[in-house]
Amino acid sequence: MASQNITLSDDAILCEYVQIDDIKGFMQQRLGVGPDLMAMLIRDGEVAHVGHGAHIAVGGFWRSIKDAIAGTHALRLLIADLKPFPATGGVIAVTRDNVPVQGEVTLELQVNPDSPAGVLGFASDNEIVTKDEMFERLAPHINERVLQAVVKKVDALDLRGDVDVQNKVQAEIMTEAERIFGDMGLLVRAVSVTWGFNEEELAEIQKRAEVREQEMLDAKMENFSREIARTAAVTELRLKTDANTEAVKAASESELRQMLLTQELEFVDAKETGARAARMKALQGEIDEMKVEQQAKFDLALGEAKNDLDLKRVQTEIDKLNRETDRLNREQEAALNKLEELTKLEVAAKAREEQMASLKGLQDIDIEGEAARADIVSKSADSEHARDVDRRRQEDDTKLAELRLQREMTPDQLLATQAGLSPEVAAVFAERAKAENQSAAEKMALMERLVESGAKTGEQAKYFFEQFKEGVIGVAAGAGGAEAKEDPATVICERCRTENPASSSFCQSCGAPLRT
Amino acid sequence: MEWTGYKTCCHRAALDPAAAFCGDCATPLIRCMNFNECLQLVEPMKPCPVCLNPELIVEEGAVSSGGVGTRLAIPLKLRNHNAELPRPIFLKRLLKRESGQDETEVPLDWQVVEAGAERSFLVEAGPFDTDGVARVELLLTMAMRSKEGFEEAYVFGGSLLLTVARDSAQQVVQNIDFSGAHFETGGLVKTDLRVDDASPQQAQPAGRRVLPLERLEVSEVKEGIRGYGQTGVRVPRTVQFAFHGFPEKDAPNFEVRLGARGALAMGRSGRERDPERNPSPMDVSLRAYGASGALDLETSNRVSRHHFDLVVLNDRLCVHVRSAKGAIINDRQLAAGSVEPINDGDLITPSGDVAGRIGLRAHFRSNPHGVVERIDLRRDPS
Repeated sequence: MASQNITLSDDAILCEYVQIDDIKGFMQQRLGVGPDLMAMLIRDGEVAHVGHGAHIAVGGFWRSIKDAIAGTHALRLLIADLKPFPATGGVIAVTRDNVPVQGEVTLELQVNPDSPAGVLGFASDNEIVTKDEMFERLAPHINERVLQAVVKKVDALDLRGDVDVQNKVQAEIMTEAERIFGDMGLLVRAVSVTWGFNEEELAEIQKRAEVREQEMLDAKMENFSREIARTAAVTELRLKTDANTEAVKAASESELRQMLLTQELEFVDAKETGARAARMKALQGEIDEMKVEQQAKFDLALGEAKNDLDLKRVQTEIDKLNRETDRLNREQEAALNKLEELTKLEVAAKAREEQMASLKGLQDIDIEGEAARADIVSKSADSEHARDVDRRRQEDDTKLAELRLQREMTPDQLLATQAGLSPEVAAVFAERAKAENQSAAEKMALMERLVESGAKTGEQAKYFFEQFKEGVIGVAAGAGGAEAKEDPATVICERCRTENPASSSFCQSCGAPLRT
Repeated sequence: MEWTGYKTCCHRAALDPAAAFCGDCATPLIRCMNFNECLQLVEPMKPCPVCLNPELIVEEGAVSSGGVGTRLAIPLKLRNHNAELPRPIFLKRLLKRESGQDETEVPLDWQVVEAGAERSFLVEAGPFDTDGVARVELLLTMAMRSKEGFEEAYVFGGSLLLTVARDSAQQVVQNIDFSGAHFETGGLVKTDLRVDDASPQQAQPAGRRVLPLERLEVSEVKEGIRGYGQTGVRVPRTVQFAFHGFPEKDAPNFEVRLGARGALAMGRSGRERDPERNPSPMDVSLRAYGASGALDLETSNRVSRHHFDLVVLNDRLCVHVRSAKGAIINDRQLAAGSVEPINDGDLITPSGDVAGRIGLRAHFRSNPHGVVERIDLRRDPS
């Protein structure tokens, strides 16, 4: 019995439904589905068979009888390609430096042969599903989530050849594709992304091309320059000699050297000689030009002269004038020489006269200086003597005044004045003051009463009282009549009784303010 | 009294070992516990800037970036920046905080960082759950000690910022199809391409750099390092003491602060200085008196001349027992030389022999910010 092999209508189709009802006839037909295809037989809306390939018998007379007795069945056959297939599509992303880049993502997909029923997940009813549709399903999911996220972290120039980025993109797309296609019974076998040249790269390529071209031109230029330099550097030497050429040709090296030394032979620098010749030619040209010019001028002057006689007369006059001029010049020169000699003599005489005057002035100054010094010494001695006399007189006066004062002093006052000179006197005075100090208040009261009672004249009483007060205070302060109980360099804190330096404003022990 | 900081006059005044206040501006002079070496005045609740001057360094070559799911070991160094004075730093504890994880202690096999020296340690971080920047916070409890055995501890914090990249490794499967005429007889040969996604930039080691350290006052109280953890109260070194229930001669009748030594001396000796009989006067005399008010010599002699000191350490009022007889806080016996904190309401008794006769009860008076401004020391029994 004939068997018909069923395949997909087109290689681009991933899966399609085959209407079995169309294959009917008197004779039963056997349908074969290849092992590289998935065959799913759906009978009355239920999956009757799923497998890799199939062998189905449909139609025929007996089937018709059977259908007539048992009723007909709705049969549909879904076939899908089990071979791995590529799904390719373009993507666009923007790099970190905001350069748009285009890429092509290629996924290697395959209908899962272990669970072919998953094909129902994407097989459209009564429609074919092409392989390209698969990428269209994936594209919205990878563009923003994967490509944009990864590419945004890379600069345009770093995108290509970055294995890390490629790996990351592939892994991300694979994860995403498995998430999308896993439920549809599709396996994701491989992913790759090919980036097209972006603007930055194209610019870089263009730039590099230009640089290379420039480098090439530079190299050419360099070669030419070197060639010119080399040509210029090469000096053609020629031998020039008046000697016998044949003899020179036959001469050995040492003989040639000898000939060079004796200048029988000389090197001629062709280039230099050429240049020199050119310069000579130029000079010769200039000289010729000047000659022509001079000749023209001469001709012109000659033409202007009336005749030879006129010329002769004029020439004679000129000669006469010249001679007269020479004579006058000689006379003037002689006069000048005489004048110069006279001037030199006069200047010398004047200088001698001034020198003599200066010497005399210097001698006068020296004499005056000596006189002044003698005068100063004399005056100085006088003034020192006068000061000494004054000092002695003052000392005598002071002593005399002191003696007069002491004559009028009381014994206490005498002791007080001597206290500063002798410690013994101070001690005596201190003891005396101590003894008298106790009754000082009483004495002061008494003196006040005397002042008030006016026993003597008011002025006299006041004088005594003031004298007395000064005496008591002076004794206490000067000679230590009253014992000092506190060190004046310290101050005692009233709160904690700690001694503090007198300069302190606060107690160093308790922080309380000190009375200063 | 609000703290206004030290002036030049204060530093000059501090050179006088007997001065507790600046004679020019009345600022209390709080000396560092190692003042003889560092000559530093310290603020009421801050460490000595010379004696405790640590520096946390990330070693050269440390990798500070990784991928999701990876772990990093970061080599660090603790440096004692003070190289001039022989004052070591003691690293007592190292804690690590990572986002989303519990605080963990980093084990250390060393404690002392000598002056000018560096000690190394490793801190592990990760595995990281998400990409981005991960923060690893380090809490270093560091202490300085005095020759008398006092210790002041502080907590400093430093943060490490690590870059975590997304999924460092994925797997790409490349399939090679050997399918033949019969599909089912065909086979698949799978080759795994391992993709290492760690980019070169991420793995690049960084140079040696210093991590800034910050004082963590809140952590100090929370961890019980300083202050009173239960109540959060802290006692500054400038706290004032007021005395109640003492005979007139035995205690100052005005508020005092810690003396020039940074302590309040308490014992049997009197408060008046006498070069021959009492060269070291007490701040508070602890003596027993009879019912008539007469001095009870027998009981008083059970108290040592200088029995204990009150000091402020780690923002806590502490008793430093100097007497061989020890001391008692509430019912707890303290040995000679011990330093113990005193809580609000504690009773300090010089020794068991005088229990019930001579004692001190401390009451803290703190401001709304938890800083104790005054401590009332009440004689118990009065």
